[in-house]
Amino acid sequence: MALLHHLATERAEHAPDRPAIAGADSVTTYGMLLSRARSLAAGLHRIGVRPGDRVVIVAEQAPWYVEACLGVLHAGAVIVPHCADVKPDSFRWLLEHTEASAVILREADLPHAPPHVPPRLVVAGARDTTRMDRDVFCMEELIAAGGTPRNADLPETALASIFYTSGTTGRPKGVMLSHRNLVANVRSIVSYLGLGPDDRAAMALPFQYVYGNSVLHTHLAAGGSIGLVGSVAFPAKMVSLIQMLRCTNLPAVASSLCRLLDAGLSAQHALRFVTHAGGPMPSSLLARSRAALPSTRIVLMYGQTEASARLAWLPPDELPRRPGSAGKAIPGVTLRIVDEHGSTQPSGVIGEVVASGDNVMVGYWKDPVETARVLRAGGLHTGDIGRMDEDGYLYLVGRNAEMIKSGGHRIGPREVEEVVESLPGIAQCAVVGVPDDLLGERIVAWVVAADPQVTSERAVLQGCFEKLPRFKLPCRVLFIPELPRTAVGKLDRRTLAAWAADAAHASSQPRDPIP
Amino acid sequence: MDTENRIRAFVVDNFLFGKGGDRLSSRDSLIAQGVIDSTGVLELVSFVELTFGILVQDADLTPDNFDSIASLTRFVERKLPVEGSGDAPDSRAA
Repeated sequence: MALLHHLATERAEHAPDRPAIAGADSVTTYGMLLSRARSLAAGLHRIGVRPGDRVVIVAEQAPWYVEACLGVLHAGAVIVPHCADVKPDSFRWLLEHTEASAVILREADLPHAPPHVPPRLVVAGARDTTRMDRDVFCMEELIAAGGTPRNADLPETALASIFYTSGTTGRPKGVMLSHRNLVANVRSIVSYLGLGPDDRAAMALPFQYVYGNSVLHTHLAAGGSIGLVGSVAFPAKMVSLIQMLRCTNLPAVASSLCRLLDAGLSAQHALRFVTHAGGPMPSSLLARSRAALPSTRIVLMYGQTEASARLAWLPPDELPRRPGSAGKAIPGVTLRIVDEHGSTQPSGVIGEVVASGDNVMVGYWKDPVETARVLRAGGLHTGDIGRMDEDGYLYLVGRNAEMIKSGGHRIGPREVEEVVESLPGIAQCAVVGVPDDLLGERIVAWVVAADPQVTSERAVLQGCFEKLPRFKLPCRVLFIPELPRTAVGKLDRRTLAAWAADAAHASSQPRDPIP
Repeated sequence: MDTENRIRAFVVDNFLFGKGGDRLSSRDSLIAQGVIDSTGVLELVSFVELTFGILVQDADLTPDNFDSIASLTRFVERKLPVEGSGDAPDSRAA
């Protein structure tokens, strides 16, 4: 088996002049991409990055991000992507938790980088670092110096990436994915989607999630390309770029697909397929998509960060026959439904979804307890509840109840609650998701004030904004004298969600789609 | 208050919760700086439609018009009726 970056390297050696990344006004060929990535890897070695080191990359929808990822992999190091909305507090935490040896970031993010941690900062985009008031390396200079990276001679079990994902506890968990994990998933996706050199993905998904990451690596592995089509914040512009760049595939989440259809995405854009993941696809949106894009295959997919990305897919032909299904196991993956003792259940019986395959993560970074909880008895315990039909098609009946899914983001309530509870005048906080037509869910925070004189909705929002990226901000803060509890004394999130849905009818606009 | 200051006051109040407005330049990209996200753009649209009485078409929703306080000010001023004519400049026949 190969290492993850070997997949694109094979393509570069075979067809160096083919486009790998297409933007509105630039094209990066496979040959350029490989040469720049290898030079960057040599540069990273020169400044002291060693194989196995973690390198945090602040993600941006730009060719440099792809070059940086491949550069880090060629250096034998481990990519840790971070969202573009950098907040100093959580950024410092991530750098310390990963013990990162370097950070690759935009010049605009430099002020958020804490002093002394980590030792090496590499600035992307800028060509001149002499005017910067910090000791930094310039990515372009590292590349321009050229050179060949030392052969890291990694086994396929070596880590390729750590993706941080929200959990039910406070801080996010670092999902460790090896080269073997990612290569297995990439190959499986390429085969079931039938990707080839003529495929071009309209890329607006954030690269810091496994969905965006898998779109990138599957298209590179197939010799296809990525079209950088901007942000769904400007859907009409994105639709025109889809056409201009002749994208053939649209990887989407429900909220982005909805906005693109509103902005005129239609059959004339000649999309070969739309993939959908990141939560259930509402049936109304599915019907609308099929009407607006009659010759486009709509592929529903299900997965988890812990599974490198994908676990199941619903072939488009099965869509009319199996409404509501999350699909069948992708090639190389086995899915089972188990009861609370771990025994496999027959078709039709509801239980927890357990997955096995080469794509299942190595574990959580520095968290053996949580790793042992989810990786046991022959597979990854997904926390999702479902049943399977006689043909092995999965139907999810409940996902991990506490997690909030908003605009394709997965948000753990405890992380937001801990931030709110750290603010002055707050005794307790409980965060819930309420249904939202566009985003799926939006975040509402219920707060018990310890001192009503020093807190307010605005003060809570201000405090959250300083510490959390925008997509994790509550859209409303509601005060309550006491949080409701169940008979056994557990926080009653279900009641809070119902109350919030009532109270939120007259609320302000939601925030929080995929940026 | 002039157009730019009204837009700035809304952005600072609504997206920055009243803090740090002095560090936000009129030319800063609101999206790249994490000030707004894609639903934030929709909030900006409702704000300029209600405040200035203009209509924002789908085709107007571009980074050139909405990605900074300065660009949004220029967009609103182009759309505003010319004093005394009661007509939007965009709609006048050449």
